[in-house]
Amino acid sequence: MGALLVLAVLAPAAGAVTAALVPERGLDAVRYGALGSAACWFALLVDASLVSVSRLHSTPLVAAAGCGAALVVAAVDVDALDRPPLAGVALAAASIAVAAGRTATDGAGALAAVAATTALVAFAGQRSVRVWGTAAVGLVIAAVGVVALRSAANSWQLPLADATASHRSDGVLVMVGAALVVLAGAHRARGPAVVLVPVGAFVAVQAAPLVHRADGVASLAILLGLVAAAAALAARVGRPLLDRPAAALTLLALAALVSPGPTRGPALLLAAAGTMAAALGVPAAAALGVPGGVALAIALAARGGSGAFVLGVLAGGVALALAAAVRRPGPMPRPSLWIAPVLVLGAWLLVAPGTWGWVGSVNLRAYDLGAARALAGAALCLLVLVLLRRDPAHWYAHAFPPDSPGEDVVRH
Amino acid sequence: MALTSTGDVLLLGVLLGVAAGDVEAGAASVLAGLVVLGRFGTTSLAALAGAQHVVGPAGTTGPVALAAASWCAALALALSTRAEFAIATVFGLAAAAVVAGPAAAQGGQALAVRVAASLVAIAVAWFVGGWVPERLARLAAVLAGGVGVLLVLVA
Repeated sequence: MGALLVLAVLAPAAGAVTAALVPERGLDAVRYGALGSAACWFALLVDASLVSVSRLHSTPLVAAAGCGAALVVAAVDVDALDRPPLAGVALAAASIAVAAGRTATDGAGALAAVAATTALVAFAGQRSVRVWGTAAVGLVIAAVGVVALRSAANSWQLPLADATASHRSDGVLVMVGAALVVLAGAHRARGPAVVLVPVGAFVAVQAAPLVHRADGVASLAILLGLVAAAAALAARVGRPLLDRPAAALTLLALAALVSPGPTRGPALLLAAAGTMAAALGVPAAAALGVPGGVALAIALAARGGSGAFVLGVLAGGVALALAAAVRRPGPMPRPSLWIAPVLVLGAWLLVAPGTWGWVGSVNLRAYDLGAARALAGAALCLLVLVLLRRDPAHWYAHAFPPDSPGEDVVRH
Repeated sequence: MALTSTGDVLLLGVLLGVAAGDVEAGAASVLAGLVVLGRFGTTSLAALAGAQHVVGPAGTTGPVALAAASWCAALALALSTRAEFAIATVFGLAAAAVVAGPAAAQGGQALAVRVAASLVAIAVAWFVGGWVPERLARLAAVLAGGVGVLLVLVA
């Protein structure tokens, strides 16, 4: 397993080197490197044990974040990437960020690698101050939190092994910084900066126990929930300010991490949904948040109280805004083959989220049963419709129209 | 899911919204699911059916506010339907499961209650879909779901 960990970090770098040597196939080389890295991380995730090599390590959470980062880079849009080799190096840096530390996450090492990732993705695509500026501010705030933690506890570790002393304010700084990094990464779906979404979420997840402690911080959860709702509604004269599903779902995940009650599992499901939504880049990807939303509703209802209620209302607002956005999409782009792994994982998340053991305990057994039955029912209906010659295939023509009106004429 | 009382009531709400192809219908259906979660502390349709088999139909047992909340949830589901028989059937079955849906496999009486409630609910949903203006029905559905959630919170 140690070799897989090394390979997971080195595969993107090898892709970057190949991309630099063969510029005409540069993007493909980076994508193959990213897919290789994703496969290694996935194997480590399935293994679910602590793997340590030198100053790198892997736990299920680390492997999940690494897999997510690799998949979003593999799905990157060709139009958004000017320098493919830099995207490969950025993924290698992101892999180091999530794996930093011998047996637990090294906060300083992780943030240094995230800073390197930010710089690399800024140069890999169209440099936007909204991306690197927001990420830089977030990194500075998170760094202040990590340094304060080091001063108080004499440890760079995230989360701290010593849970007796309170380091809540330091943890809040790290969480806020990570939220800004996520916001920067969600600027554009399928852009190179999207790798910042899983990495930022990972840093927040690692810092969350410092903030949550016994029963969370309702005020911070509500603040993050408000930002998530604003992200879900973000639009300017017909053009969204950012990728709404990715930003809203991931920020809602961060809010759930610090919410009162046992909401860590739902938060991880929402973070996974946000990452996959960033890789898919279509409004309908918001549907991936359904399992996390259901689990969050159950956890908040079990906890009760005004803080949980307000966060629940905000989560409902996010869901409503994202659903409304799905109802008025433009013509969908043709799906790229490179997003196929994300589609498979997304289908798995939608149908059987209870089998995602790395997220911890979530009360989704009834959901799994119902989703399986609904899927079987839908397949049966489709089969019956086809047999009755009421072929429902015309939906494809609506969803994926030809690129230009003359395309069919030229083809025939 | 509604017919066999298997699955998650919130997922059922989302799927009903997809079936209706309408955000307001989905919102009302999810609000109905939240009423069930608030009243019974679970989103499992099997647990909902089991509880109704033990203590009686949700719409006729328990404190008045909670029973009223169940009726509001059922109303929200029935009002969310469209003027198509298949859609009305699905929404009607879901409404019946929420307000009077004991586990049908538990005996003849439970089966009779379930069948009767389902038939009435399907008829109501079919009537709503054909006769009530769609915009008005959607507004009323969301309002009914919201009132149901408020009643659960108050009780």
